[in-house]
Amino acid sequence: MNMDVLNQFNMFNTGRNIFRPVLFLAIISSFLFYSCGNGTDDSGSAFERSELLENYCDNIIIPGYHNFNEATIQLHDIVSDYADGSSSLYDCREELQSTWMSWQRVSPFGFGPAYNNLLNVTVNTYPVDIAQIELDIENGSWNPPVSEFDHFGLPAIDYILNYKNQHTDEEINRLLMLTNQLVALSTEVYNDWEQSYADDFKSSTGTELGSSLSSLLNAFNQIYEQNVRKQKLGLPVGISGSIDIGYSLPENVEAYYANTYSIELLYEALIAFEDLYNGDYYINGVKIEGVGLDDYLITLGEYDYGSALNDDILSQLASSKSAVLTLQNPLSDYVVNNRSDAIDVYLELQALVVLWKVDMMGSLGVDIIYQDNDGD
Amino acid sequence: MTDGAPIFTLRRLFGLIVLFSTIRFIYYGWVDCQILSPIITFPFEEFDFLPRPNYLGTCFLFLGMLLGGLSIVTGRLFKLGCTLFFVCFTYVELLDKTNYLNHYYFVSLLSFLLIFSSAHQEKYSIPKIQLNLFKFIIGLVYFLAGIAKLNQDWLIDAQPLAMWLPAHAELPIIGWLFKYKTTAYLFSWGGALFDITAPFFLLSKHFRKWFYGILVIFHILTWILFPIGIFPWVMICCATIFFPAEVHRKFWNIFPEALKLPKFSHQGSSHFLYKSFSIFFIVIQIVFPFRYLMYPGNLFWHESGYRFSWRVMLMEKPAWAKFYIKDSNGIEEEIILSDWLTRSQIKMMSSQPDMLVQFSRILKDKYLEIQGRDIKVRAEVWASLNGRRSQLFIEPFTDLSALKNTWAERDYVLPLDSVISPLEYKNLEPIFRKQSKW
Repeated sequence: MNMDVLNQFNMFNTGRNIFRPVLFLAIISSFLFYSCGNGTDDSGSAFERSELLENYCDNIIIPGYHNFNEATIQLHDIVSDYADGSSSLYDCREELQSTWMSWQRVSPFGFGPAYNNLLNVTVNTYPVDIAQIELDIENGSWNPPVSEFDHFGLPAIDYILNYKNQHTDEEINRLLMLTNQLVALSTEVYNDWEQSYADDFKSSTGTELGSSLSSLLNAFNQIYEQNVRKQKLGLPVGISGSIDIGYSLPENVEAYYANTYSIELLYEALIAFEDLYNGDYYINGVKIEGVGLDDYLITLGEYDYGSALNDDILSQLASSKSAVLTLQNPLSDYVVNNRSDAIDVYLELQALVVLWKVDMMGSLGVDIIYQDNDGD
Repeated sequence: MTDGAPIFTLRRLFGLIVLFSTIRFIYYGWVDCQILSPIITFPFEEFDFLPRPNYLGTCFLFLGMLLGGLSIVTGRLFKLGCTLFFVCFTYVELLDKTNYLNHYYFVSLLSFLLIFSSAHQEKYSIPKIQLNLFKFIIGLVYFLAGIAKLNQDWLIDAQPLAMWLPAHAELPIIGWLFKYKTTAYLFSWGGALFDITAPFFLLSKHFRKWFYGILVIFHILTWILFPIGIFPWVMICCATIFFPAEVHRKFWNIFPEALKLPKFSHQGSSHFLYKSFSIFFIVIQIVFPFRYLMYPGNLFWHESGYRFSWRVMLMEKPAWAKFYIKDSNGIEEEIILSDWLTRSQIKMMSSQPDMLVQFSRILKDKYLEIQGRDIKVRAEVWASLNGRRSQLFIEPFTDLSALKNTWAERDYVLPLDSVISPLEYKNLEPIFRKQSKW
């Protein structure tokens, strides 16, 4: 407050009484600013959203899509070799697993190019419609999916590769179409990111709806809630939302026909979300700590909505991971024979939803709706 | 009788703003996403007899706002035009609580007051009481917005600003300030002080000029920092009413002849009905915002008496609602909210108890109408208020569709201090379920 203003206050004090409370409030509040400023450690550590976006884009998202793209190409090549007899069914099945694993790393990015290319629904919609797959095989022609995705992508390949030990020409033909589509889609999405979307993504550093962070967080929360928590474990144990239908639905597990690595897929998905949250990435298998949402919460300070929230998220991540490790393959048997244990694991996964979707979103100050808002 | 220049300015600027605001609303495509496309809406219960407009009806409503806005700017066919604007604008606001904004309410009130004013008769003087009534409502908005900030979250914890401001740390020039929590305190206390003192400074001859400068900076800052739409501009324009008539005349003299305020003659007097109307209006405006005192518990949590009380930018309240229905077969199903609601409806409903009840009732009706099933509806809702950790919001096994939104206390809302955390709920849920009639 400068001297002129203070003088005016003095002038005023002799004049009208109505301003006395005003002066009083002004003094009280300046005192309070002063004490607040000193009372807490207010180092004001900086958080740059642009660094977060850069890290996500360059170190996590683009390498992730690159790996997935490579994996689909390899899968397609091996299936081609299988078609002419130069590789075994075993090789195909192995390759399917590693493609599926690398998919878990990019499934959280269901916005932008992935969304425009219907990548997530095409790659991994399950359980599959077996009758429709058999029809597709018989039919022999290629019609890309429009609205029903449950006879395409990895789950359809899983059915054809793993359900039968010998394959007819028609079946192999269908396999090739399916793997070919995965190659085309993943190439498209990877190129979109690499060639144009990355720049848009990194330059949109705001917090408004449609900004990169807003799109990313929307996808993050929705995909964790629906595609990890609910689909990978909730539906198989017979829980929809928090409704316990009383019995398991084992055919709902991911990779049902291979039936040996459903848990690995779930675990990988959980790690993908953990790494994304922490901003961590890998170079030659070595984990490197990058800027993530954890850093944002930490910079808010030692409050319930700041670093304390981060601590809780990390510890819930840890207990979710160890819970998932108590599951045993084949998951489709486990959810039937050890149903209540599996439900406990599900509840651990669910506890993360609230922490991320409600608490963290409140702290981040990111708009998720497109509308004027007066903080009501 | 007095020179009406301040009211004439108010009328002209207000008209421009509502025209701009209406065009902006249409341009952003909000007519479609807020009015036409939602499957269901959340009308204010007191007005739910108003039919929801179809496409043509909506066109007429917005045409009415545009024509009304034009009439307000120009002063031609004023009473008719202003009434048209007030009716169309308010009609749209009453259609859906989702879109409730304090400044929409303010726009409704101002256009309502303008109908009964002589703001279009620039050649005559106006009764002083008219001018004072406008000063009163504008001053009151500031004052009560300031009083509403005198609460623990705002003053002691600097919330929600402590969470909102750091998101703007990358703004040029001032961004670095927002890294510090002290800034959040400064803004919280400064904001409260500003709002409470605004009417007095604006009334004071000595301070009016420099305070108006602060006011402009203050509102522009809020416009930069928060998505609050036209509100800052409405207030910047309205606050000019406190300047004396000479200043207004000088201002319009900058412009070409056609825009200058004409010389006026003294004529007419205030109608006694206008005086009674003013007193009635003033009493209601003072008392109504304090109706929250009737309800125990934390106002921000239960939100009984929250709206129409000039509570602006006071809450960050993210919430997550899961709805379940059950019919006579006893099988519980989860409702997919996006099948029924838009994204902003989901966001708004999840944190506002009366909307949770309203949605449940609508759902019950729709199921009966479409599928012939008689259902019960419950919701498990997690909410986090102003940086507190998330906790269970309402009774999770109460049939919400059997409740009715009234002015009574909302006892289905769990008290804010009865914290049930998501981790505890795991063990509590079966107990709650057993104890309930669900």
